[in-house]
Amino acid sequence: MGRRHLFTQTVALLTVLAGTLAVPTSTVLAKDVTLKQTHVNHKKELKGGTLKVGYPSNTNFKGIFIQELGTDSETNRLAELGQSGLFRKDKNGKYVKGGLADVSFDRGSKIALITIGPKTRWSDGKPVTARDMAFVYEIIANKDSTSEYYSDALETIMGMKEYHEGKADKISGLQIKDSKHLLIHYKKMTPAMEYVDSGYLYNDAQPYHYLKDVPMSKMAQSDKVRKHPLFFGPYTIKKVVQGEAIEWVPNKYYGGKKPKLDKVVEEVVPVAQIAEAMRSHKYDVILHESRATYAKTSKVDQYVTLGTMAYGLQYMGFRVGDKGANGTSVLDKKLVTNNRSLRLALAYAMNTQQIVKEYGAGLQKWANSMVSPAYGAYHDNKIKPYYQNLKKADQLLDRAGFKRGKDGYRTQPNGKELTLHLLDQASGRGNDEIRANYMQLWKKIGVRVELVNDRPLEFNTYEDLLHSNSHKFDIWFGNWSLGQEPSTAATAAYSPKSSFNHGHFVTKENTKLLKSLNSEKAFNPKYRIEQMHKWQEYMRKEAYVVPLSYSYDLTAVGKNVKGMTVDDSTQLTVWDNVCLTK
Amino acid sequence: MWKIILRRVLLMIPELVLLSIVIFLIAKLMPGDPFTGMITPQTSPAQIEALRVKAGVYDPWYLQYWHWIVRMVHGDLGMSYQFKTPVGSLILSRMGNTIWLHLLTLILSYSLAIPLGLIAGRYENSRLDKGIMIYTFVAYAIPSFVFYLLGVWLFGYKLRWFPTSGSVSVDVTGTLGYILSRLDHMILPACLMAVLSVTAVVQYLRSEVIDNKNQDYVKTARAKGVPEKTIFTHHIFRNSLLPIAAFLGYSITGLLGGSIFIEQIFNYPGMGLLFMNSILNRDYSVITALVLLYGTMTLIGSLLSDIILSLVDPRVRIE
Repeated sequence: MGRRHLFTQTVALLTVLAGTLAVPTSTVLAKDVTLKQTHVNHKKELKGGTLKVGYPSNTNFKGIFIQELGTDSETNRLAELGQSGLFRKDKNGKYVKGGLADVSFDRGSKIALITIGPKTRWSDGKPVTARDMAFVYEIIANKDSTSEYYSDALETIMGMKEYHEGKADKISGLQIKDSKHLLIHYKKMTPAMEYVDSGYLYNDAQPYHYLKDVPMSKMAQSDKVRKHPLFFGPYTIKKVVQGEAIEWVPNKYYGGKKPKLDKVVEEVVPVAQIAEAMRSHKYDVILHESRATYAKTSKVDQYVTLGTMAYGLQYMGFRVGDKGANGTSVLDKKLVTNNRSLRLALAYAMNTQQIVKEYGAGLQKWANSMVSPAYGAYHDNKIKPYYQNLKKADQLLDRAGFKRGKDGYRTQPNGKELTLHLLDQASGRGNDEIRANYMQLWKKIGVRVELVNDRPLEFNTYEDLLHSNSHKFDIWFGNWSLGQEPSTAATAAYSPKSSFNHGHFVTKENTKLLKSLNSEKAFNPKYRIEQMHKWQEYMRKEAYVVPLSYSYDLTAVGKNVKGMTVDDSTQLTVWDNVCLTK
Repeated sequence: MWKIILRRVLLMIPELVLLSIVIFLIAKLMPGDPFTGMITPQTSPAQIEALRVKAGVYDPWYLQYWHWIVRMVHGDLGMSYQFKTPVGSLILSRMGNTIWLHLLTLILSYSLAIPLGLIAGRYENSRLDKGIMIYTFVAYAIPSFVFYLLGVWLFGYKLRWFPTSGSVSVDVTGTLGYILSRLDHMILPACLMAVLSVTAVVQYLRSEVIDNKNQDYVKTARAKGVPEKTIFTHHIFRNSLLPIAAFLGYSITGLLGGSIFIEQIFNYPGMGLLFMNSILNRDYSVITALVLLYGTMTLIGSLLSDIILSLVDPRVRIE
């Protein structure tokens, strides 16, 4: 969705590795490609050794090793060896017991109680304390902080707003009971806070004893954060070459299983080199391999590709309203896009199934609903996608009064010319072909679709237009990259006040369904799942947004590596058991 | 001459002020800002708006420009939005990498181009000359990124002579080890750039040598019995260097420019990559600082070229 994957998005990436998949097996099926989540290697493991990890990217990582201050996904992904969360979660992203710290919720008292394990220590040997966990919230909310992650969700913590505005020295809702227990007092409790990425609770700690003397405004540039950071994960940084590489050694104070490797060297690999680097087996593991290179690299037999489905999706949206007062979206019934038959006709005219098959390299899945299968039971796999049916599309338009003119194009039911303006982002030749294909299909059913500014737009222009209240576009192609908390898929972009409701879609039924997802009753997961399914069904019926495809996140693992998994719901971190074999 | 140089330096001041206004306005005219795309469903738009206000994005352009100029005069180029680090130290860290890489490239390039130009000119229309000409045309025509990728594939992966990315190994120890590792990482990109960048120098030198071969002073030298080799190395060479000296100044200041292709292919953290990413991310403070730096360097390069030219050819005087 964005040029920069932010912390939350990155946490999503981290948690993608948890692999909450709709299919209950340990594999993901896409076309005829089978992606495993765990690499099974029966060879005898080597003692120690150096693991070489490559990260394909054309930019240098920023190297801010405090997730709450960082701005790039590369750094967060590379830093997983040292900081991959204190809490354990299940396959649905819900917090469970058994982590380096545990969290429990008392709904009656509106409290979250965090208990830090006795063995949980920083890489300098000092214990991780409740003060360290509270420090995370201070880093985000301090008025001098450069963090971008302060949110409405955080304001549900008592005294957070006052602290953020500089009216209070402390966040009154954070109560340090003792060195190992932190109580968080909320104004209200919501089912979302029991899940990773909800924004209400941070799955992280920062070393207060080490950073307390660093001014908040200068923390992101401090050497303590960039060159010599502390970690509580299995490995700790020995050396960083800014933007290029990181050398990790075992954290001898790690609270989990003793790391098996002597050293891990992570390097950024230019994307143009990745196929050759794999052919020459320069790296043992390639993180975040792209779909573009997979076609070449999947044939390299020294590697096994592991995959998890991403939480977001690619979609087509309709602008059906405007941004009203206070930023609340208001439906504009005069807009032709408010005609359901027109929206459905456009959806039925699209050959998305074929496009996904031809262009997805087997690593995309045709989307049937607005909720990715990555959300496990929250995804409704019974919903039918919009199968291409040009005849049905034509009939829908005929019945709705969109008459065809002599030129083959239809007019609106009120007799006015029908031209829809499509907003799209410039992102490569493949995309141009796909867009041209869809436009031809819409032409076949008599709908004239023109590209905004006659071309796909550069990222910044596209984003500016999408976030504006502009009438320049009626439909747009976009993609979401979402967090692991399931209701985000619905509430983040389709609630009346969301700034991501680019289409300004608001209906009573939709608002009611969205509210139900985080209602008191929704603390019961069964009810929450049911409501989520109802919302998906409703969105399918109304077609305000047409889901197009889901994608996979890939990790290539050398056959000389043992214990590698992308499913972190079974162990503390994905790096816990990684070792080399002969 | 010193007076003229001083006058040229003083003239640079209004030129730079004008340049800075143009740069600033163009940067602001670009769609988006450093925070575009940062808002995700999990971040608060209010927080991003607060950061925009704090960064002065909504201030009138002249106010933003004034703040920028005042800070710059005090040696503060601002903060990079994407790196969250002072622009000055960010540019300095990249500048070192770029200068060393381009200095090595410049040395290699001139070491290759000058002998080739002289040989081509001396043995005009011979097979050797034709061979050199074909090489320069191919070097000029070949897309640089294709050549660089081929170079990485052959020397980096197949022959494994050189590292394939980065500026230094992460596991290197000691100062000597660090220097050697830096050099090791620079050799391949520098050689590849040098091989492609010879065309202009070879062609200029060749045509100058050919022209000079028939000049009266050469005929006189021959008539006096000066050996052919000495005529070329002592007489023709110096006179033929004039056009090359004319753009040597630009080459020196161009050391800072960086190369987007080579830096991207080798993931070499230099100025080119920094500049490109800053534009893509609308990191205004970095963009404006870099363009101003490049503008200043171009003006200095022009002056340097004139000075070098006057040193090489006493007949030329800066007026």
